[in-house]
Amino acid sequence: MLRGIDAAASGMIANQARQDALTNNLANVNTPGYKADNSTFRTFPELLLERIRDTNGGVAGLPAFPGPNQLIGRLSHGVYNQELVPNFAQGDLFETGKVLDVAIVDQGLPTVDIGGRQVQPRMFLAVQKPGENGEPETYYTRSGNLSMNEAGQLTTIEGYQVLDANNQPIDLRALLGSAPLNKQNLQITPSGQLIAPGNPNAVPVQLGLYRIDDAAGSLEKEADTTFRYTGQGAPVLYNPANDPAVSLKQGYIERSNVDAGRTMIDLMTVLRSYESNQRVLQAYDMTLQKLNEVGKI
Amino acid sequence: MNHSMINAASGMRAMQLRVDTIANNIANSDTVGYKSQDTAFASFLIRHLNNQPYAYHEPSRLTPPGTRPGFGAKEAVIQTSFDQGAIKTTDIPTDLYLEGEDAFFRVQRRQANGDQATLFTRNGNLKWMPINGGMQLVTAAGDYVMDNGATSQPVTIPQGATHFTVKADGQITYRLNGEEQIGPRIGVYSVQNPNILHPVGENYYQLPQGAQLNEFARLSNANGAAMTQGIAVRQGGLEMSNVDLRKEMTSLIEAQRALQFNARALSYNDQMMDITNRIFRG
Repeated sequence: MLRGIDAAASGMIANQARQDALTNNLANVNTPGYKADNSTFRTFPELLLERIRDTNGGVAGLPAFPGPNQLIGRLSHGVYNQELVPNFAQGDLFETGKVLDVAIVDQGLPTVDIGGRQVQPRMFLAVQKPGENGEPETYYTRSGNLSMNEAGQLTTIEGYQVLDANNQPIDLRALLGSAPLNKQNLQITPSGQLIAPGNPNAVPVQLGLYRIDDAAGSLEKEADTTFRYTGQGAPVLYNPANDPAVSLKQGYIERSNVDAGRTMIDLMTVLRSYESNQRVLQAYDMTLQKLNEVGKI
Repeated sequence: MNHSMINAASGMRAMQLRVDTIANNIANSDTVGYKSQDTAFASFLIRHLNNQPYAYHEPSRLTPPGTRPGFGAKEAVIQTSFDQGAIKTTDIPTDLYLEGEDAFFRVQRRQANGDQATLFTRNGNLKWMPINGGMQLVTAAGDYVMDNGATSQPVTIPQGATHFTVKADGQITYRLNGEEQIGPRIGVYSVQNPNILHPVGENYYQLPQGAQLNEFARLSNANGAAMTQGIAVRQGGLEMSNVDLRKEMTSLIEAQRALQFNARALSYNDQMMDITNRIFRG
């Protein structure tokens, strides 16, 4: 059959996958801490074509070509959506004035060399949420609109506990005493310490902030704006002395880093590319139609 | 099938909810004691597709094997902002303004099944209602305002009382037959964690089901004790809505544009499906 039909169809499927990623980004244009996905295409593994039947003897009944196998060249069978690379660039900071909203600013972290690429490390908050088997697992998030649950623990808006530097849930009630939860009674310092100035017995709690050097290469996206760590070793616990470029801002959230304008342009491009692939399919269809006409009696 | 359609639809739904919340805030920008609300979003489910499990086939990959496309956004929670609203002086004796963001009046409301529900409100636009020879302090919706007793009772003064005053600590005084009398004290409760209060309409808030009252809402002016620092009752004023119209309008424009973006994405998807339909021309 005509090989190009599959190539054109694969182009349509790949564009559909890119469209999925783009619309998902667009739906999350207002989700705090969301990181936009960029889809990358890759050609199917290439084939090396050779002319055969060049061996002595060949196929019975057909003329034999003398000489060794002849290289014809490479052939590619189309394209697929290889991966979705989250863009971990810092989102805009938005002032909410809420006591438990916190944004991580880490643009100043020096880049790290990962396999010859200069990669910007990123800081994440550690949260505990039930994993696939129901056991609590540690996930990482940039979504900083936090809350206090009925048990007095610091949680994400989804209700997952935020962990401290010792991997324990944070008891805000122990910190606050009987004082109400507001910006005077609970402060988050730029180095990620929760302090209660009004309560002399309060022991400050350090938020569980982790530095992940190769964020794109070691984090898998999960539901609820969280990430699962799959890289080598463990993420590095934040140490204010080692990472002076990191600061936390209370009363701010980091917004989604989706650029709506660019996404719209990408959507248009995808649509037209999809259409072009469809035209190619139609052209093949016409070729086949003509072939059928040849055989007409 | 076509996930981009679902993504765009989920984005539209989320933005629509945000527009709804903002519209509700704007509608209540002049409602006494209203607290503005905000919608918070989170990304929705993520699929894990093992499209190419072997790393050596794709040497230039930046991410772990597989792809993880998402399913759009969801509204995670509607948060209420308990920021203090401005005071409006009315000089009406039964209008009470609560100072302190965490302070609430305790209100009792008889439910359809005869039970008494405990609610909290900051809406101090109260009035006297004559009941059983006395006068009881009720909210605008007609529910009893409770005093500061250990077993909370509706605030009651005798019929015919005049010159009703409320001190900063909630103490009521009135004049009966020409003599100054000391009445009950209005109970003012301090809610440590307003995140757990959920709005039940008419500016009332309720604690979660099964929650112990004294664990979440602490009495600020127990008998014989002074009012907690930072909390006070001011007579003759009302707390205005804490809606910031400039902020709401900005958010509204933003939410509406985001809604349009998602609607446009939906229309692009529709065109793509049309293109798919036209592959075969018969």
